[in-house]
Amino acid sequence: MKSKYALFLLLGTVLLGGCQKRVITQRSNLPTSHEATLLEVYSSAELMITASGIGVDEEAAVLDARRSAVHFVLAGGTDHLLQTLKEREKFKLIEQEFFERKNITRFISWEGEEYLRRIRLTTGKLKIEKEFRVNKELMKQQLISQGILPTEPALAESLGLPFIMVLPKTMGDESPIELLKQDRNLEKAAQVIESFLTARRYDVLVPEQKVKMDDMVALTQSLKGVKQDDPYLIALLVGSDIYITYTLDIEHRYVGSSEVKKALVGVRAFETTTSRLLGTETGYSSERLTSDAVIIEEAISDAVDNVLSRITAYWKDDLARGIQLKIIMNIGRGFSEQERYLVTSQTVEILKGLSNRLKENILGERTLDFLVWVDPNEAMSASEFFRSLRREYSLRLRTYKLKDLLINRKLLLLEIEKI
Amino acid sequence: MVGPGVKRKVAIFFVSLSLSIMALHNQSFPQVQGKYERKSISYINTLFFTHSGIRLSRQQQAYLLDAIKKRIEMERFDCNPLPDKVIREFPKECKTRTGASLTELDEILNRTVAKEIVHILDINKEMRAKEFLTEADRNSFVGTKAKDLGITAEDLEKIMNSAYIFVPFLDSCVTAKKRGADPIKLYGGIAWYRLSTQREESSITFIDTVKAQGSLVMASIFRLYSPSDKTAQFRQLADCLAKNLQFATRRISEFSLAVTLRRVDGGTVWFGLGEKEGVNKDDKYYVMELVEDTSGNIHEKRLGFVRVIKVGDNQANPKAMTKAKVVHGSQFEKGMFVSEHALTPLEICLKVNVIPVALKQGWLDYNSIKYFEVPTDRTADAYVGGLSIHYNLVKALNLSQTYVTFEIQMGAMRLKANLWDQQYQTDIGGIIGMHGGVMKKFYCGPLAIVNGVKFGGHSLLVTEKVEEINHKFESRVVTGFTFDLGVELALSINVNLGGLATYRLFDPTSSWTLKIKDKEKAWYSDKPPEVDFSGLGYNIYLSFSLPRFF
Repeated sequence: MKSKYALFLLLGTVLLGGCQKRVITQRSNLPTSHEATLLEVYSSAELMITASGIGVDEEAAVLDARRSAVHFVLAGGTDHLLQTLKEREKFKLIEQEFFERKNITRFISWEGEEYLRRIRLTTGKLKIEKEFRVNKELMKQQLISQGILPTEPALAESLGLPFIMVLPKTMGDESPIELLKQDRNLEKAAQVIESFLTARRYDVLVPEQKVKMDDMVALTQSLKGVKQDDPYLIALLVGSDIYITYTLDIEHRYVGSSEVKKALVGVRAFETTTSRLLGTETGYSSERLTSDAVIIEEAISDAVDNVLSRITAYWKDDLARGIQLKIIMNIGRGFSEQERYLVTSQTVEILKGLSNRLKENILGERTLDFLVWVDPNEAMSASEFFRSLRREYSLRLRTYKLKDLLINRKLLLLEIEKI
Repeated sequence: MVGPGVKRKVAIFFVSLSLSIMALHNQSFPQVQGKYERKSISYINTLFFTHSGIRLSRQQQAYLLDAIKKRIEMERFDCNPLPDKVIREFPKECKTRTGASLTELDEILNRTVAKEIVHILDINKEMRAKEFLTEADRNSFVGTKAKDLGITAEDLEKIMNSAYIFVPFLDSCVTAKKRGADPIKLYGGIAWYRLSTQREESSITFIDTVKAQGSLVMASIFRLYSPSDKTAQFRQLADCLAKNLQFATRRISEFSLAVTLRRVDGGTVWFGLGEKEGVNKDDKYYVMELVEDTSGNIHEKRLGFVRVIKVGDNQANPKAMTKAKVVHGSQFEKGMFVSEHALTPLEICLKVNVIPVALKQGWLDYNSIKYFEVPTDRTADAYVGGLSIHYNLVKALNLSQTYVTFEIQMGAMRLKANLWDQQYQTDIGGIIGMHGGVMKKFYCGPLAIVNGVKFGGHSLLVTEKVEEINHKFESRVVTGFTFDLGVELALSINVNLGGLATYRLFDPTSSWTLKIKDKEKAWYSDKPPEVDFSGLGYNIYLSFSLPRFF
């Protein structure tokens, strides 16, 4: 009997032990090394990166290096894909799946065969450094499809579809369009920047063509006897919502009898009507024995990717903080000091009510200068905001009316008049 | 049996010889600087004497200079040939060629040849700079989209600053001890200078010297010249010095070949050096890896070595690789690197042979007495020390691990012989021998199957002092074939340990020479003793690959 009980207990123990859920510890897919450096911006879609990987053997170390390269594009360097806290938090939920071997291999368009460095560490692990070409654009598309990142067209649409124009920086009265016609290097630089913009589906204006269209509109209107609208003509001078301007220098020297050149560029993006700087970056080419066009493209590529990345970052901020508008109000004639004070204080209150944030730049005797951040869901455009503002004015300041002198993109030139 | 005193002397000799040979290898191997980058060299065709009293004829100097030039202008270098006019200026500027310091020559070189070398570098730099383009350069934006070579200023400057000049010099010349004798040993070297163009004016600075010697030992052994032909004798001497200078140059870290392993497949590795750098079959390379220590410092660790079995033709195809077999070490991986270990095709071998010798009963009569008698038939093992030289014929025949061999042997055996009508006895016989032949090794990892065939001769020698008179009984030298089969183990990149079974096919001989007080005497006998060296024997040996010629 006793032996039967013992056998029963033994069998039970074995069965219970076998039924226990075995905890399988899964190795993390995240990179161990995280060491990576940007070598060059290969194109609008790809980056050349050197990355190190650490692993127990060669295969593991190379896989870790690939993960480090991909990680660099996501979260390393100064301009990475995951720009906001929200994006990083969303990514954390899918990071294991994202860094799986099969998935990251898709993003690596080229991998060097040779090892740049191979070191046996004190832990016995292997550290290998290799070169990779990573397709940043493909990574971005996957993150967009998984809802981690917004699309740039969607972003642009929610911010009022800004248009971009690329022009060389000018001194004094120089015409940038004339400069583009005369200097082929400047033209080449513009082409490279425009190629990046169009590859990412930004809306780009061609400066020479825009001037022609503006002239054509003015001529047609005059032929039809339409009265000249001076504010409109002034507004046309602005050109586009965002300017990307650039400077270009090419340095020459001789190594023996061979002339080597190096291109230095500065690229800057800013909002035309608010003067807000969106991004600025410098770019350098290597000192090479080659044509100007090659080093210009190399230097521009070095800079423009970062600038566009920063533009996107600002737009994302705008979605959260609100679209920035510049409001300049002129207080008309015949206002007493009391009246001016009333109008000014009420204007500030109204603007505070209609916007997420308000910045008072200048509160002068006759001129009020503000910056407001407006929720894009409430007012997609400057004109929409103006209508809301005018409505509030009519409710709160019945003896005064708000008149628009010029609404140009994100700039509102207004006048307060007595009714 | 061989006396203990003799045994001790023989042991001391071989140990000393082993230590001497090993001392030749006791040089710190060059620190690998990473991948070898091509350098360019210019040759100053003027022999510099560091001491007065060295006498060489114009023809001898010309031959020596030419020999050095041929050996140093290796495939791994790009050559910057200087015009004769420029080279002629150099000795004129050196007001005296004797006793001047080599380190002071850089100023003269600056004045005479620097400009010309810069001019040659300038013409060739764009073409040579292509060598420095890496895999990443070829796959960068410039290489692919722009379809440009992408040569950078850095690459061009590397070319302009990796030019070297070498000036041969002679330290001393040893002649035989008679008046007007020709040289039998040369001590000389090469002074290396480097051109720098980093500042506005180019400058040449002294770096270092490499020294070597030339001798006639090998040439004598292999009868490469006739002793009466003095011109041929000097040429052998000059060639020996030039070859040794080449090996010394290959050991300079900046000039030593090194590159990473591109592929590893079991016992075979591939790397990106080849005909363009002058890699040859049977060349040996250390395999090393970078290791981090506990303080975070990186140093090189030697893991083993490989031997080249197929040289890549990277002149025709830049991507061609050289294939090498792993001899020592294991678990090599891609990314480790190989570093050249320059060795001559010579091996020197210290052997202990056991040779069966059969002595048949017989006697030699002289002056009506049995002067020498072997009373009974006897077979005994002779213990014979051997010194052999093996020369790898890979360059001549393109056959890996195929050697021509030469060996001299000296040893002793136990025997029983009676002298002077059995009034005296002796129990030691000496064995001397000399062989030449061919040998082939088949490697599998560190082990090799060795087989060979030799042709040579042996003789048995019995000497004894009887009543203060030297008596010598020597068998006729018998010739025959020896067949070897055995195994060899690579202990290190320079040292192998082997053991061979040997089978000898020799005709027995009953022909003897009798000498009393070194004068040959006529003997007679109905039944002289018969000596037979045929049979199965064996030997064990240590072989050393030599870093220079003798």
